[in-house]
Amino acid sequence: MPISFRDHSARPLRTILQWVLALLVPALLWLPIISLYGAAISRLWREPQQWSQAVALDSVARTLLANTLALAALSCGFALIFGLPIGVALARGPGYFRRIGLVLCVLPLALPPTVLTTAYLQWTQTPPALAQSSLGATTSTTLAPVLIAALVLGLCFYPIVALVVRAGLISMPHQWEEAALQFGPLASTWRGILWPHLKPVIWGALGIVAALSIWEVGAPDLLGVPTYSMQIRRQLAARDALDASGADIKAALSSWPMFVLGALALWPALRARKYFGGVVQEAPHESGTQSTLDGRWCMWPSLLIFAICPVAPIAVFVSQLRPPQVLWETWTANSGEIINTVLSATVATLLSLLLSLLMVGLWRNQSTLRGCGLVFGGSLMLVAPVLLGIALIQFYNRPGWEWIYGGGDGSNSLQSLLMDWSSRYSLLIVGYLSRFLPMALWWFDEAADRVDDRLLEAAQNLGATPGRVTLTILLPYLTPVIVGGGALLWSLCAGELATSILVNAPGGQTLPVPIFNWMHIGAIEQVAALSLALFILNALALLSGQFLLAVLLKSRGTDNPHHD
Amino acid sequence: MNSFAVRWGAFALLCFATFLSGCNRTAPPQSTSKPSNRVVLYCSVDEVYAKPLINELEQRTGLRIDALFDTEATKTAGLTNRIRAEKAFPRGDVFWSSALLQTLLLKRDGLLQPYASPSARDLLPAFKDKNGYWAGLGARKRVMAFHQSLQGKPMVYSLKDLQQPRFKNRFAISNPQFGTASDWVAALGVRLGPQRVQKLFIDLKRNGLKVLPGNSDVVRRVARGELLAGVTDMDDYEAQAKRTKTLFIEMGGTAQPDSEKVYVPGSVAMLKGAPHPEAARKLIDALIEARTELELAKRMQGVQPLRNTFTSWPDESEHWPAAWDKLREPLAEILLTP
Repeated sequence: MPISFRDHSARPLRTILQWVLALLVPALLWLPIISLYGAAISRLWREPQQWSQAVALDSVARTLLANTLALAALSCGFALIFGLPIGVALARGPGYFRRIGLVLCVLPLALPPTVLTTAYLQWTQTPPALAQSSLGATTSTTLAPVLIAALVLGLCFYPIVALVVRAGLISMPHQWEEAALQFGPLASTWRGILWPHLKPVIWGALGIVAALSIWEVGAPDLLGVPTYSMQIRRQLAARDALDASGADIKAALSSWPMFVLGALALWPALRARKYFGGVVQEAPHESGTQSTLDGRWCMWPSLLIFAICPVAPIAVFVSQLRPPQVLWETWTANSGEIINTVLSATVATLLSLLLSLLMVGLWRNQSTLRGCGLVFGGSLMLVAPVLLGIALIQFYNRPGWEWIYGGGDGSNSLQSLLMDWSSRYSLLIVGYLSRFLPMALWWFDEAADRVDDRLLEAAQNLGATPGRVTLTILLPYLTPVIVGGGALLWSLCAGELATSILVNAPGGQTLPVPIFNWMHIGAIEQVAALSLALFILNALALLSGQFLLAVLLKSRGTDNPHHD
Repeated sequence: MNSFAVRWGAFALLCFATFLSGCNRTAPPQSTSKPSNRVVLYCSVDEVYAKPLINELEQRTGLRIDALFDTEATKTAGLTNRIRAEKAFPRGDVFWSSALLQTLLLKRDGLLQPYASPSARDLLPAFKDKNGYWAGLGARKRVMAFHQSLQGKPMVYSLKDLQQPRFKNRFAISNPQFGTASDWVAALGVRLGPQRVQKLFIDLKRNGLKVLPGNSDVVRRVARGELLAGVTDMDDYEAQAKRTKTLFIEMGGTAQPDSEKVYVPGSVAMLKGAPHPEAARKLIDALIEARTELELAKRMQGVQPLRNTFTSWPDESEHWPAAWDKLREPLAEILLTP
């Protein structure tokens, strides 16, 4: 008897199991953070006089918050200035430019902010600053370093704006513009048609840029911009916090503004998530139809921006390799870091994709469960990366978690050796999952939401097993997200610094950490060599994903995963 | 799809539960297996210098050295706080610090275990703990770096001289809350007494003393001419002097008061409860032996080997923690508030 796909009037046990399985992973990832805040609240309960010290924003904290907000706002401005013309050119420019431009536009994502900052410092021969926050600065920083830091972050993150603007434009039927032009001038068409369509897209992208800028640690530190994120990091290591648990708690309590800022920044992205998940269907376009927004005039500014980033930083790194053999020597000496980066990013990406698939599959057609899963899982993004690192160490540094933190008992037994290897990467992978699984969840959910349930139901009614339905119907819809999203996740994991710098285990250090550290002591050639290594790894991942995606879509003959 | 996901999810849950059940360990098992050759090294020496040395030590000793380096942003303090956080269940075996004070504080807090390495026999008593809790490895001199515009003018040999009007708002030190500056302050505290040190810094602050995040920051700003003078480490001075000709130092000779001639030794210690004790001892023996120290001095300009440089040195370091305790808060008050 065919089972209706919509038959979820099942046994209560099955429903409970669905809920448990769907929410298990987010719950496990939230545990360290909840544990840290539990300890913090418990301490405040015992010592209520500390409440005002811990939570109130003194003048230093307000200054740092102001710096952080200024940095975020300016980064958004630069990302918009760079990303908008590129997005238009990628959507409406000549075919040859769209193909090359798409490749070049993705490459800045292969340059994490710390790496791009080192390129800037090397190019200008400026020594790296050290953030003033450790000195208890009570005055704001000057505008110049904030502008430079914002420019660097804008150059890192403009692809986010460019790609969603492209997605917004290609999804908009040209007939709308045509029709509007019949009744009004160009300006009112832009105001009345294009802007309302692009507004949520642009705000969403800028929200993501703002959130990433707020959480960024490496670039502001190297450029001498004291930010709130870095202050949390320094509080943990402050000499006056000899009671390490006190430092954790102080950092946890004082990080509440990061939650608020992160939520405010990501809210627009949430509202525009349809442009960030799945493949946006290109609107039908008849040849000869008139467009108000011609992409050709955006080509030249786009080429200039591409020259600034990603081309110029790569040229800077190559020029710093004096003598040239320092490249191979540095790569060989740091082969461990390269292997660690590849391994941890790969495992974290595969786990993120698998877990997202599983969770989205579990909560499909269960709107309440889906809502809870998205909120519970997605809200992990609001945890500042620095705080995440603190929480992970505090939680897993206890007996019983040797597979994750600590390693074996020092013997040569197989179990001990496996625990040594596991503990080398586990905490890092958990950190990556906490940071990037929410993104994967939203993407997968958005893509799965576009699948017509009737297709799935029809297949099941014709006798297909749920597994076959998944493989033949659902998975093709999700494949573009798996391929494209997987590539992006990989590069985000590989370039992650804020959490890694805290949780990297002995022998498990990844590339961004020595790049950040060595830049401070002026080891320019080695930093250039490692930056190139990280860029190449990221670029390979992103370009492979892009290529596979293009092949996949071409083999289906449409931007849609299924022919209609 | 739902039942498919449920079945696979249930299987995954079962695996996970099994995994968790095997995790719990309340007491270290009595292993009959051979000890592993793995050793965990917590290292606050700059990675770019320490790493090649660690690779050499791996080849020499056959050990697998998993090193954890501290970030430049937090210097040694971050790593030692991690050691404290892991007190109940230590993960590290050996602590190799670029300074000494933090090691002494760890010893005072009961976080080290003694190991009198045979490699330390030829070190002066001033550069090792008498009970074997730590041993010195290389030393850096605290120096005063000057901008070239001061050449030919009356020289400055003592901190007190920086109170002269010509230095107003034009001299700096690195933050004494971190790194070798805290060792320096502790040494001054032992020699001059905490009250005199506080008075000295109050007077310097009145003359516009700047406190910068790190030693390299101090020497860079002196090299650029933004400052006339700064107290820094010899290795930071050497690194900057290689790039620019605008700096010089005066070694002082007899003109510099003995109380201000401070050398900050690096230190190596075994952590209490080290999970790989045999490997840790082997690593310590290799780290502090003479050829390793020479190799370190060759790689890090400004670091001097303890064995050939000193024929005698006052054995005062055991008093540094007490002096630091008396100076830490007052100095933070004096130097870091406007």
